[in-house]
Amino acid sequence: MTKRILVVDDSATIRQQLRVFLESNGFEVGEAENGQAALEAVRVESFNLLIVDVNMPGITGLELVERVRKLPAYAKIPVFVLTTESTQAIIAKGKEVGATAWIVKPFKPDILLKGIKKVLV
Amino acid sequence: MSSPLQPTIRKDILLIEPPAGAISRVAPALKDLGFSVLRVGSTEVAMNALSLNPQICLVSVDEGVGAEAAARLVESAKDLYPDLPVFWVKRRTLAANVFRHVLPDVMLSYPVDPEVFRRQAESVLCVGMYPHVIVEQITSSAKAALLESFNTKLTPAQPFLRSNRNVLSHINALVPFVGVKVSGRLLVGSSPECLTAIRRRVLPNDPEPTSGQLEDLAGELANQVLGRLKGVFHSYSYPFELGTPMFIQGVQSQLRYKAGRPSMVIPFKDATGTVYVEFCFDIFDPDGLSPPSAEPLAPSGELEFL
Repeated sequence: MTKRILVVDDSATIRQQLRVFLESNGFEVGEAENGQAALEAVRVESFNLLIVDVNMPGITGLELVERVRKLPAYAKIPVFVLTTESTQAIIAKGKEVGATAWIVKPFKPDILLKGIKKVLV
Repeated sequence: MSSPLQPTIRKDILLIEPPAGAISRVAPALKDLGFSVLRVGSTEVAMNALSLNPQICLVSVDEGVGAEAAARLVESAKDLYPDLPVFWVKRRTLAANVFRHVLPDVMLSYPVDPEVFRRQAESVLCVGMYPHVIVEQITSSAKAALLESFNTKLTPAQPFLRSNRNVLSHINALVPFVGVKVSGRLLVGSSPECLTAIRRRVLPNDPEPTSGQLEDLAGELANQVLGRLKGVFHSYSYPFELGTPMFIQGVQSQLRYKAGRPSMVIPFKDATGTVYVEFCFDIFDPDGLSPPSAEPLAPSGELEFL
């Protein structure tokens, strides 16, 4: 069954770039431009993995991860944080709220893909 | 430990030249950058000004005031302030021994084109206004963002200070940053053609992008450059948070920062055009600057399982 990934980022460029890349690698991709839209998306659709930016207007990415983890269907789903934040303190916070992996932008899509394939066997 | 993050914010430029000298025509452009221009006609008055005023950030001496006296002034200025840039306006072939121990930093020939003087002045003042480590970090962050996120290799050119109110590009994304000890803004701008070419490298099958999509691209670039800088400042105990991007479009648009210093611009060039990365502090408090922490930042591009 095709795996579905939700990309949450306020940058349309990043969302579109990831959509094209992930779809070309056989995934179905949903997009959300902010945390609120992401929460609505995960409630109505089923995703196998989330890719989440941190700095977004409204709900931050880490607040989103914390809330998503409270949904039974998403308690154990891999959540990758894709962000410009690089300090150990915020990465620790990410781990605390339940993020699975952390990538600092700028990023190479192939490295992201390798990580995705590792968790979505 | 001397801090590489501590900027120099001396704001006075001292011009020594005879009456009706050409250099003073450049004074309005320098004032527009936020500098004060002090014009004197003799080396004695200049020497007095130098010894009383530590705010002087550049000296220009026209040898028309007397070559020997001007050369002694250069030596004394460098003795007082070894890092002070000194320009010399040359009117004739100099005697071999007029400079005994110290040479000026820049030699210009009389009559000086004010535009040439302005560009040279901006170049040296930029180095004084913005610490080298900041320029290096912005340059490497921008190169990495362009190359790794967007497969785009642009060549950084000489940084300069923005000397007028006009934005440099048609499409610009500006991201403010705010902290207790440091705040300011970073702008990324370029032409629609250049941004389209960058976007095509990662989205080759997309139709012609809208101006909104190009704004978004500029915003993402600014976000990635500033994000990396955030980590660097954090390691020096100067944390800040990024604000929401804002966008300015139109080559006739004006943008002026009400900050205590002009903004610094680093151009990145290739055949399709130039991406400008513009940076300006409005607060930078060097007091209490701590040595950089040993805590490593997460490297960009690598995936770390938590």
